[in-house]
Amino acid sequence: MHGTFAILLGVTLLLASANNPGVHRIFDLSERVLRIPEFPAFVARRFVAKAVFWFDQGFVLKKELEALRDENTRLKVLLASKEKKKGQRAKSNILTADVTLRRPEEWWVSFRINKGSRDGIRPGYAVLSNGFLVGRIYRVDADQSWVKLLTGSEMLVPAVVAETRDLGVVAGDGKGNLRLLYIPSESPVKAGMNVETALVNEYLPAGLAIGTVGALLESKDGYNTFSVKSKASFSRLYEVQVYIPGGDAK
Amino acid sequence: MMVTALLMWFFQNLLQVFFMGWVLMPDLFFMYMFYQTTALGSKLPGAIWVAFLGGLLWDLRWSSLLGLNAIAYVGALMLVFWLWNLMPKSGRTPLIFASIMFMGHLCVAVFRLVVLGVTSQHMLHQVVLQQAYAVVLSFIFGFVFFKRGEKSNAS
Repeated sequence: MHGTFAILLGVTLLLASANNPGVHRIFDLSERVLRIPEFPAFVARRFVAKAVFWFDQGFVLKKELEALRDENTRLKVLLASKEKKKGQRAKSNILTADVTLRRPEEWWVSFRINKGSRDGIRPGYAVLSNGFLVGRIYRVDADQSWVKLLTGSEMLVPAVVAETRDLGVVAGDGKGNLRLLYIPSESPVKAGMNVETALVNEYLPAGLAIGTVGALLESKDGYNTFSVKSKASFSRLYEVQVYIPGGDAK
Repeated sequence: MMVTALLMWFFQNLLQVFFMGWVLMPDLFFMYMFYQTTALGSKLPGAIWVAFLGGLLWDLRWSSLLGLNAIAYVGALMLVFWLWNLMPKSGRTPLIFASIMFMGHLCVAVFRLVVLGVTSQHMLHQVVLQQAYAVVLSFIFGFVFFKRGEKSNAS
């Protein structure tokens, strides 16, 4: 009797909460309440991650980190030069943030970071890892934000193949893979070419690296679909960089 | 029961925070609720509502669907409790205890996978690992159950 009633109550809650955007407020509130007692676990996690980083991987990762820093600097320079061309005065900024929540069932769809509107983040901003676009900010609170991953099936990003200037759309499949859609069949696009963002708006500037063209997956109705290989490791996102455009940089 | 169960929930939550992105934590809270209702003899109706509350809290913290884990915990708890009571007293060995506990845990995981429609290789790999840890924990609970039985027989 009790069990049946509890299950019915659960089903009612499940149906009421599915696709109800208001429920996110309750989720966020519970996370906020639990943040204080969970703090020791967060600190311990960060400590262990750093210890593993230094002791287990050691020298190799240190070199990789240096390479990433160089890449980040190059990226900043590239962005600054693009903004200069566009005549913007203010400098863009790259803000580093930690991934604080990645729900198992939304593994390839979204995650949360520990920077929010107080740090200058707004919806639509680009999120990078290893210098490659991994997603965009879609929800912002005062001190945390939610990132929609490129690998989610809802995410579509206009892209350009750098070598041929062919325009297409990069989309996720919800399983950790990226695809480049709508490339004309007669186009000379081939594996290994670079895929970058095409200009969408000031929050997602043109020229951000997405990855390289992979294998041809499908050819239909005069258009080819390719896989895209990103150098960002979508299954190991612990720290990401948020691109804050020129006019908004603090 | 309530306080200990909530402490167990919080312990599971802390472990999940610590291991987030590395491994999925086994449902310690659910395992404890099974231990509570069988080995410690708590009444099932009370345990059902504590399991429901624990599931709801887990949904609020870790799932995007309110009620998903609440249903899973309650359903699995009822199933394993029924199975346990089917066993004659002489057959209630630590191995049977651990097996039933693990079966309940597996039911919770399968229910989540089915409802969420998870097909990603990465997630399936994580769930398999989670079940492997649950096997170990089930045997630990089984051992505790056995020791407890020995103690009460001696006294």
